[in-house]
Amino acid sequence: QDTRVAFGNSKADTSAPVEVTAASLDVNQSDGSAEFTGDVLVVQGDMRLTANRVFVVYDRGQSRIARLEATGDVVLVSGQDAAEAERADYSIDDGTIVMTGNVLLSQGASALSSDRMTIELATGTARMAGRVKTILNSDGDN
Amino acid sequence: MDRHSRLVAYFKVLLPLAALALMSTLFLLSRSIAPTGTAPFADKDIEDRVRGQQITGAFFSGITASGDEITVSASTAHPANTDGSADAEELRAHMTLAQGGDIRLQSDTGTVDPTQSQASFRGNVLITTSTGYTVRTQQLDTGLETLAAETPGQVEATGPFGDITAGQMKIGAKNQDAPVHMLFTKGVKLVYDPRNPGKD
Repeated sequence: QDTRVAFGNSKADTSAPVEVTAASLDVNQSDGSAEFTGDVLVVQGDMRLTANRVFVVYDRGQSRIARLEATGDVVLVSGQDAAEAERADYSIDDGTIVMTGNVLLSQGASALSSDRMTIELATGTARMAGRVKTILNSDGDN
Repeated sequence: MDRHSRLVAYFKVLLPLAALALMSTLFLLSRSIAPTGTAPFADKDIEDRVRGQQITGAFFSGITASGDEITVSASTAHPANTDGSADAEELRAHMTLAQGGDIRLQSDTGTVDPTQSQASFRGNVLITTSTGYTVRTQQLDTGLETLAAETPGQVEATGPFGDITAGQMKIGAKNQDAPVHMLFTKGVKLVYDPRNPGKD
């Protein structure tokens, strides 16, 4: 089943500049593949994605980034919502982030977990799929 | 005295005079060759040339164990240093990688040390790669037998997907037949602007 939730603030600008900081960037000179490693932080507007490694899939012709594949302790924070997963694929042009691998979305007091979550940054909505579970904290103190 | 002998007598006088006139112009109107003129070299140039031996258009090329070709050239090189290395101006290097692609290095000055098989590029160092990276830094040291280069200091680069700054850059292969990698390290920052990505 599909669960729709709001995620982050809705007026995220998906064409804002993207800043990636990391310990190092490794570029393979024979096939041109590029990978950031070492507590990588991707920032765009007020969306912040952290991960151990981010692989850059880019189109060299028009020098555009097609996708950022973040793997390893991925944490995505946008507005007051946060989501954790093993992997996140961020397609910058169409402003979608697909998180896979025991996704945990925490919004204020409640938390949802699932196998997969697709976030539309522009509309600020997220669709969770695959064994979606809601964890309501009865004490509600955190 | 008939006409013929008068003509001959007349020519007997005129022809030697003409010859004399021609001969004199040969010496009077000839270009003045000033034997004491100065040579077209400045004294300083000559002293420089004599003091330190200087090679113009120096050239060095080698192939690494994994088959990458490295050619290094300089407009002038002075093999004056005691440790056998040579100072060079307008240093250029072209590395053709065995696994495809190439890297070009360029700098204002530098030193080349064939005995240690090392070269050091200094001053406006510019590195361009076939994968679309243009890297600028102040100094880059590279090996000539093994393809291993690194910059001691900061680099600014424009890559195929934005501008990159890093604390250091290293070029090299992890092991002998592995592809050559360019590693930006000691803190990397990339700025990618989706609105006008290819602005470099």
